[in-house]
Amino acid sequence: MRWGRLLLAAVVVSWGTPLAAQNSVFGIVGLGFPGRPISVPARALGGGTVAFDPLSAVNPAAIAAIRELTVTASLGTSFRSYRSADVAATGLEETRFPLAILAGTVPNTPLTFTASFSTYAERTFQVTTIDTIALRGAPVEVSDRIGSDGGSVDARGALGWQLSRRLSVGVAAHIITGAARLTAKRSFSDSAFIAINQQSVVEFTGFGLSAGAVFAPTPGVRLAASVRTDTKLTERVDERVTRTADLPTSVTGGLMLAPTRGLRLSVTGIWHQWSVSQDGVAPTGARAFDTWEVGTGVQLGGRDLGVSSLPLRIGFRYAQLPFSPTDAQPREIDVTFGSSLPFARNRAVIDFAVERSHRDGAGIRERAWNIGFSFLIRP
Amino acid sequence: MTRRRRSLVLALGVLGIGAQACQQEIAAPGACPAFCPSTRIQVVDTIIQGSVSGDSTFRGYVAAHRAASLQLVSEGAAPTSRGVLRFTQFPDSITAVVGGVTEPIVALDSFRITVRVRRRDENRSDLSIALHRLPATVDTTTSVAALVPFFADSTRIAIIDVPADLGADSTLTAVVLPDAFPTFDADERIAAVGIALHGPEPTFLDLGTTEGGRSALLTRFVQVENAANEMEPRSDARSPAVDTFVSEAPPPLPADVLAAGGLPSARSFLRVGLPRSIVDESEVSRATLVLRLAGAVFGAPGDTLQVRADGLAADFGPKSPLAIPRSIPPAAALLVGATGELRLDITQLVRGWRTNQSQPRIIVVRLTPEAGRLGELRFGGSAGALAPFLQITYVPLVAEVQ
Repeated sequence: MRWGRLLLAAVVVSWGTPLAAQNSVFGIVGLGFPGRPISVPARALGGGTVAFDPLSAVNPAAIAAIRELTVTASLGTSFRSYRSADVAATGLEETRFPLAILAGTVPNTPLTFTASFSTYAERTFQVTTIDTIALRGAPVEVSDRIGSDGGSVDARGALGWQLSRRLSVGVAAHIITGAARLTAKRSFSDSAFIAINQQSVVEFTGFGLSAGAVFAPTPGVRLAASVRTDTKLTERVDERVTRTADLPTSVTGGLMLAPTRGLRLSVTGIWHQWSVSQDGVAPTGARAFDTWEVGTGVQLGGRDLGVSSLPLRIGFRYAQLPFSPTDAQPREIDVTFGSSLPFARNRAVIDFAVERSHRDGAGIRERAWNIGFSFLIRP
Repeated sequence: MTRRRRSLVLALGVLGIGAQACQQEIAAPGACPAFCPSTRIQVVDTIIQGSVSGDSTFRGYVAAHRAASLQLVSEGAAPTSRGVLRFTQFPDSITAVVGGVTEPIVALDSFRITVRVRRRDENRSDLSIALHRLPATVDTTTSVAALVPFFADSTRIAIIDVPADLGADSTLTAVVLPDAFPTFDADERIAAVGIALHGPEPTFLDLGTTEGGRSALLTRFVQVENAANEMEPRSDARSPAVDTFVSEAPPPLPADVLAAGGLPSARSFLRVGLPRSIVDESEVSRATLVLRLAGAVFGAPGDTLQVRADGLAADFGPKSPLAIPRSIPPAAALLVGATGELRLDITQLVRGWRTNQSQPRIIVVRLTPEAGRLGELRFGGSAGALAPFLQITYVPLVAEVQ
């Protein structure tokens, strides 16, 4: 009964509280704002454990650590504001479900599997502009609202194999799918002109493969690496191809240290070759850059570290952003923390993470609070 | 707690969190041009000459005697018009309201003629209407020329002054003695009245009709002999069997000129050809049909005509049913005597062509109400120098927001 009350209390406490998801003004340009297919605990650690995390959809070798059927889904809400030389926007909220994973073991084999859905590139925005144009010989004020709601999704199927106590490997296939509903509205100050409201749906398709390994040379040290390559992202509106863009190859490497019981240090670096998308995004005036991101985190306590206390996770992350309207590449710095609440003898877990994001570049300063929750069940 | 109950609480928890996730507010001012979508909403405003490829004028939709009003135009300007009322037959006895006893009429005392005013030119005063006795055989086929002898001083039975502050839906009445209709009995108790408007300046006055729900009324006041052989006053009233108005016809319609309105009312059909890129691959924000008037607008001095452009539900020639949109755009007002151009809003009509591909792309130009006024609009046809054209403001469909 106690865990049930706690859960309900958490819901009640957070009712009406802004929850945050990943989106950004930087997602307006290029292919969208790249998603981070990582679990909420990994997010709380600044992404430092991503290369080792079986519940993040990055390194397929990490899923070899799965021991039983596990289901987890996360949601996140972002509260954003941004400022440029001419414009200041505040009070922006968005909620998304950035990651859902089903993981388990393959019966009668040494293999483990995961099936996951995660955000590949978020393309949700609504931009309003006001202008005055000359129509039929008279000035008419027009208000435009151009928006997109949705994005591309990475559906991944992965297999992991723990070859030995020290070495695990894994492979995964990725199908990039998803859609975004596009709207273009224009209203006129002169009521003789009827407001324009156009809608269409752009559908995304693409494929990818990834492979990785996790190596534990000593009990307190683990190393991980993975590589992922994707094909082209094809965008269609009403079955008509409107854009294709090459997708990046990504390389991930990580180091995790457990110097003592109840303490874990981790760092993960990821390189994305986003510059291959340049031809695809150039018609929109965007620039595509290769990106580096490095995340590091510290976890104190927690049942996964063999300590009964609630875990405390803190992290730091630096990332370059792939798309910019200028030659200046934007960057992001995140400071994070989070924890977990286990229930039902650890068969259900609620994780949460709080991120403070600073994104700067191309004349824009964006600040965001991102709050993520995940719900994990081991039936 | 049982496992089922735990599952229920867990499900409620997930639902609760999910419900919160539905909140979203992402609209923001654009940091343009850098951080705006590259997609731009392009507004195109174009004049399409030759967009009207065929036309016809058909007359006879509503005759004067079927109109919702009856327009009197005073003398002093062309055209003039006169009203004609022929009331239904009075009986030779009166049936008492109480008891239903039929009482023979012993003596005819007087008549009261009541007409209802629908509309007038409020800038004109010192008006009066003259009531004249007409033959009881007058009907809807009568003409101005045929009625001229009956609008003489000798046939005048009453003059009613029109108060300067008389508003719409007011009544004007006159009481006349039996000698106003000396052949009343010989005409089998049928009376007919002609109405002429007089004023210091040319103007108009619209009276109600039976079709418009505001008919004139002729009340008869008589003496009857009751059951006790005593004389008692009684009255009864009749509405018009014919209420119409007559006027000089406008000049014949020249070649390559179209018309709308007049008597009987005319409609003009314009067949429109628009590029597919506008109708089917764009969203029309404003569409205007521009008619170039062929001479000054014909009608009563000071009157304003209401001109509409409607679509057709199906093309059956002159008898094609109109397609009236759910929200009717306002009609364009056109002052009698005006020249130049008339611009009619057809935005809803053109937008409807995109969603209803089977709708004929034909525009019907007509006056509203049809008939009831002398006014007639004449404008150039598609084959002439004054051909109508369309001005369209549209936005090409945005294929993708990027």
